[in-house]
Amino acid sequence: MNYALLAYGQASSETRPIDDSIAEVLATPEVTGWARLYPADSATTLHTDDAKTLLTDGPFIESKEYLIGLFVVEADDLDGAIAIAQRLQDARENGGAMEVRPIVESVFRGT
Amino acid sequence: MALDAVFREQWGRVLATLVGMFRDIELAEEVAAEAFAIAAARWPRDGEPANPTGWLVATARNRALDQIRRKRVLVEKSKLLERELAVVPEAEVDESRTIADERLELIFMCCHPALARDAQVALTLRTLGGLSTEEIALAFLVPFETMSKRLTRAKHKIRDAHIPFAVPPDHQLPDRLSAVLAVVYLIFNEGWGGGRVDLSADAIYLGRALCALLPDEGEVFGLLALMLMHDARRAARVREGVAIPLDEQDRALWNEAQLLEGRRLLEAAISRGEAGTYVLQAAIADQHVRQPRDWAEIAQLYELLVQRADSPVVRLNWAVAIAEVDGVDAALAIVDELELDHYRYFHSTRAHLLSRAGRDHEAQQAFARALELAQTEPERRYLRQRLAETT
Repeated sequence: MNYALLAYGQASSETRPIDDSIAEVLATPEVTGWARLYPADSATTLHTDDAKTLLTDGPFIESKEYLIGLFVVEADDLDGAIAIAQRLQDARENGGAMEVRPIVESVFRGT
Repeated sequence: MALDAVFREQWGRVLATLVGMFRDIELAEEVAAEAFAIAAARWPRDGEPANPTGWLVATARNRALDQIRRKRVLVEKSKLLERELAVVPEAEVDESRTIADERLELIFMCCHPALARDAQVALTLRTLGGLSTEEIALAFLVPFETMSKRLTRAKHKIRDAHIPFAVPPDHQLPDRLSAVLAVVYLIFNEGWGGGRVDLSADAIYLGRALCALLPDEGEVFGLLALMLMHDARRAARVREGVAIPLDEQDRALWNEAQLLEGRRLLEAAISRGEAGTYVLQAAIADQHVRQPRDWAEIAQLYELLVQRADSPVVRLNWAVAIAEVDGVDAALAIVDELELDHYRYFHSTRAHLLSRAGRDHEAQQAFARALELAQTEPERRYLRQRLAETT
């Protein structure tokens, strides 16, 4: 059984390497992937309603929608990432939001 | 050439090239400012170099490389994450080499939809317009700290999220270009409506640069034509502290050369088959300065504009033309459907129409409401005069 662990908190402006105690856990084989995100200001949100998508600056502020999925993509720049997000949005039957957040560093080993 | 003029001309170009090299606006600004400062000290003494842009770019680039080297040492020493280090450009910059104009790439980066509109406006003025943070803050009546944070946030987002430094691909160009034009027009209107003359000059400067960089885009010509035509009437809009409507303006005060230039740009755009919203608005502005006015033509242009870019304000202006073609009642029928209670020109337009329809009491109420919403003293004086007439 696979799980997604979603960490919330206040982003620090410092870009220190990951704490040793956390790195230890991340190195265990049970952790099949992880990503450290840039702070919320770097986010861009797509909101699709009735097949129309609106692009806005900033993170997604939850109102009636909750986190339901998690995707990791590779792209040359933000336009590339947004293009993939748009394809996913177009494929979603009921619309909804998708936040695009750049990753500082990550490791993915797969399951 | 006076250094100020050189600065104006070169700032955008030098900055664009540096951003293209390092993909970091903050770094680019810092080193560009240093290079300009050195130029200001040396050039009056030693004379201007043969290739000022090349000199400025080479000087700034060297300082950027110094900064990056110092940062690298710092990163290694304190084991900070390397993510914030700028890309190091490969080729050496020869001072004498012609520097390609990358301002288009820069403006599309600054007006990227992933940035909020107010950030797009501020960034465009800062990078391409060469305005200081203080000047931009003043222009938008916002505290310096607020504007400073807004700019920093936008620059960091561009850097961290990798907003591309590129002219968008063809299939995206129309949307992305209309965002750029909207930003420039917003800058123009902030300068025009609020009485801050300088911003409108900056907008026209940006419009001219865009025309030079995108000579095949009719809407860019349309926007410049529109701005020039509005700006041409600037001197006649206020007389003895009172706002003067177009019909009563002293035409001798209009800048004929600018009107003519606007008309030529409009014709160039139309000959390219363009009939976008800015071209339509420019065509309307052009019609308005002709005597006698062809109201039927103006009404038709507004109908096209309603089809292309329907909005309550467009309909409001359309109604003014309809009043001349189909009568005041037809115009009021359009106006009464609009929800524009917060908009001062809605009330003043309605007031004029009501007055012409002989509905003086309602006209009075509408003028009073317009007066409440008026934003400048000349406007207030004009409305007080109208109010006095209806009493």
